[in-house]
Amino acid sequence: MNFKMAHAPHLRCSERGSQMCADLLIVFAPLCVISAIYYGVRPVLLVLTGLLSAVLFETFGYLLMRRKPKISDGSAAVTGVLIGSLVSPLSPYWLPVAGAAFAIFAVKMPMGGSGRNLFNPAAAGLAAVTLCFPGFFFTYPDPGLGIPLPLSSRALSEVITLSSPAAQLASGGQTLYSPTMLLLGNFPGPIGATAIAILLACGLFLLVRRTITPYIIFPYLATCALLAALFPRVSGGLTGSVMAELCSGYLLFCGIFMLNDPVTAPRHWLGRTAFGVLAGLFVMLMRYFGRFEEGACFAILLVNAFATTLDRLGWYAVNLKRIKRRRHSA
Amino acid sequence: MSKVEKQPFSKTMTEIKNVFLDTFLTKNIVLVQAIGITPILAAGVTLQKGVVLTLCTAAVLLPASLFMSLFGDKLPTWVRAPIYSVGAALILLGAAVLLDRSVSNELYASLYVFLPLTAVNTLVSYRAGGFSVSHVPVVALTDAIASSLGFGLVICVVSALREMASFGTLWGETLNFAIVLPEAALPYAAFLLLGFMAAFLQWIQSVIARRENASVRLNG
Amino acid sequence: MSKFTKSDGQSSLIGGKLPHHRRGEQPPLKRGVLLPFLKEPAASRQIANITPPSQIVMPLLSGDGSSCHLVAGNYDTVLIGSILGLPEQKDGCPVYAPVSGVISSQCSIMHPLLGDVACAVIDCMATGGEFGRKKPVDSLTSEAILELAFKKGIIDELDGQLLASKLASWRKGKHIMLIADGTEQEPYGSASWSVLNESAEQVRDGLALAARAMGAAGYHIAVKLSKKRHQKLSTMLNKDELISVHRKYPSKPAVHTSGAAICRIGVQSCLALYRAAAFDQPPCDCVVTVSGDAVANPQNVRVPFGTMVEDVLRFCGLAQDPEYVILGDAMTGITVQHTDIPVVPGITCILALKTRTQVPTHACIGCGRCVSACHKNLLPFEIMRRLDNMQYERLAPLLPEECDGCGVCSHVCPSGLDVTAKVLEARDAHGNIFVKWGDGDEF
Repeated sequence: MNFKMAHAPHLRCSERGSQMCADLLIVFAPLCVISAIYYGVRPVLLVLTGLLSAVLFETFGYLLMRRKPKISDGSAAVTGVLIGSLVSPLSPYWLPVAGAAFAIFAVKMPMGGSGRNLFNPAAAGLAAVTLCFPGFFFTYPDPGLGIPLPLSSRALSEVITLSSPAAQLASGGQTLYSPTMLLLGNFPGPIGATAIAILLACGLFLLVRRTITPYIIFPYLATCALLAALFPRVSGGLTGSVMAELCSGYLLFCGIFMLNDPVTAPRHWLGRTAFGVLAGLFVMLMRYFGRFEEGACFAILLVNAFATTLDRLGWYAVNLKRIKRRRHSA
Repeated sequence: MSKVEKQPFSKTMTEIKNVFLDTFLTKNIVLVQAIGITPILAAGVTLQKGVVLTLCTAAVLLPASLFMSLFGDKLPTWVRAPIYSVGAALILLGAAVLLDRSVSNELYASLYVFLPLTAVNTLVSYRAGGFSVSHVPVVALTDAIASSLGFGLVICVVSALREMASFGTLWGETLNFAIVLPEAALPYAAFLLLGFMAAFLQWIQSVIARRENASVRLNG
Repeated sequence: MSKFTKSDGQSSLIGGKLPHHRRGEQPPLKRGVLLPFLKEPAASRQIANITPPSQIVMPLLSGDGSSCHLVAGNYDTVLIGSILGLPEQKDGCPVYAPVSGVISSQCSIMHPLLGDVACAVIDCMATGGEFGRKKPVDSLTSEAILELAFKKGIIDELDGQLLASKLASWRKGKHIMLIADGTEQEPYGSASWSVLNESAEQVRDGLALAARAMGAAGYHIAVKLSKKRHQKLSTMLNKDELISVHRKYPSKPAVHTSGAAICRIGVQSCLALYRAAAFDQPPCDCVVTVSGDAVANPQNVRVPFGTMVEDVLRFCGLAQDPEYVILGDAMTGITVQHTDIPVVPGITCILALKTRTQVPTHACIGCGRCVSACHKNLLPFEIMRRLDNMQYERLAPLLPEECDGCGVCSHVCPSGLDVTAKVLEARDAHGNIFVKWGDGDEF
């Protein structure tokens, strides 16, 4: 009788990579619901467009590379949903499709597909469409009206648009939005990134599920808050400035979902901490000096380039003594 | 004075062909060695600019390489760089006047600082100051031509694509595209294009290598 | 195979030139993973004595790794506990007959743990039996205990090394706590639990002997305690002799005295040392946990050395045909292709599995689980990546030689990659992968 051979250990953890993606997809549901309450069905359709197109493009990309499509790991779906939920509710349906196409075909597939991409595909896709079609970004409808947006893109010109908190921050002066309004998401902004209270709950859920790591998200938010406190752009005191900076735009959303993408973040705790601090610094610099009112996706692309270096440096810094001792004994 | 040993040269066409193909394609100066990227990113926006930059590069690189190949090993190291830089600057001065007066004032103005910068481009200093000094004039000249052509090929392809994408024109002629992406004129688009072209080149080479391996296995 | 590295010295014991590889271990890190229990029902059952097999195959390999030659010829009768094989050099430790029987032939087998090894095939007539009367052990000196442990060839089941050489190498260390490791942190295994349940006092006395032999500052028995087990054990032992371990695998038992280095030996080797001292009895058998979802009656079995794994599995009964047979525990054990393999000292667990969870393999997604789980504070994913990318010269700074092969990184990997195997490959190559790589290359 011949038995099969396998490497130890013979007992594997039942957790799968796809479950991490499933967690992420689950927490998008409440965000979509909140958006649907404010704007009607249109934002949900936009998110679904992003999801479907990303999955389709990924399948196509794998077929093009003559490899077996591995959609089941869910990374493409997450990319699509991320792009879909960071566009304005007023954007046309082809916008998330274009973003997903760039994310998959220019950023993910050429690097070798899932697990090998250097840059976060969602951030790159979003950055590309932001750069190419800035007209569709940063114009947001007024959520206070409670009227569902028209489903067809042609009727959108009638919709009243408001300037978002991020735009107000960029222009300076007094912010119009109270901390309560910011927490409830009752302010104009991208589809999924406004409901701050829900976002925080999602973050907590993901932290508990260990899908995202506290080593990145807390230093990131702390750096952003510190910079907002040191260099306020609006009048309204310390709290007002910090709240406005942290809740506006998609700073928190990117911190939770994009920065924690395991493929493009460091693995060592010290590297992760440095990564979070650097990301916070870049995000705030993009806000202070950037061309757009919100540049978190550009900042994330920038900091992704440092991920591997920070990882090694962090590990070497922690284990310096051990390595030196080893070198002496050798 | 540092004495430089000239690389042996067999005086056959095959070797010249190899040098040419190496620098032009298999070790393309831009796509593989990553030299001379700056003008492509910043100035390679329209095909006209691309062609002008190619011509300027060739005009600088050919005499510089020839000169360095002939006299480079007789000069001390510290004096080489100033000599070919000053020479290149003089040539470019003439080229600039020619371009400004008799071709197009606008083109000259739009090339901005990148035309004079060609004199101190890494492409010139690397090929003329490095490769040519240690090679005989024939090889050095072949290499200079191949470098210019390799650089020209890349910058022309990139600038033509970017011109079409960002302005909807090619060589100034309107092409009537439905969608125009003005943002393609930003440097990141050139980075992307260069990345894809480099990957494409690597892919072609890997296919060739695989075929050669297969034929070696069949024969041996 | 990490557990069964051979001792690298054939040095004489008294001269004290022994490898100093284990002079005390690092204090434990609170890392690792929580593993499922899976020890029931074997852990709560009594130790069963195997029905004597018709034939056993005893490897003629002494405890220090040198090969021995038979002292008796074919068709000679050997008695249990008598010397079966003598090593080539004079003062090596001999091989004892684990059963009484008739030597029928000699053969050479390929053992997955020992390599190519010569064996004596013995037709088994009787197992077990009475040994001499109990002798007082209190008067033994430290040298006498070491000599005894060496002559009886007692092997520590924790790492398959000679107990005497481990103890002797620790003698030079100062302020060492000696710990009998009965924690059985891996799933399934419960052999040392059952040994402790059966004869805790003898284990304690053996441990005291070992502590005296190496001059330890103190000794403890480490167990994983549930309330029920605690009650039962504390009736037999002093309460302060027991210590517990952290719940996470792999955690080393810790003593809360400051500055004490910790050295661990196995529970079964403590028992063997006591029996050698008190009854002059060489180790003839070991307790093996037989478990897994293909086994009908998971239990702890007392097996004479040299018993075929097939006989052991047959004794416990197979509920279904296993797909995998594993020597060793579920985290570090190795799979074998066939069961014609004798049980040798060091094996404490035999698993027969029908199903084995293996995640479908994706590329590394870089989740960092292996980094946060690694109790040696390494970067397993990076070692694997550099190995896969053939960046062998860049492996050394990542210290792969510190890996002890606990298997946690593979266990937690959500992509189902064999990270541990890769890290061990990097460790065992000692920077010589170039040679290995060049050998099999066809170009």
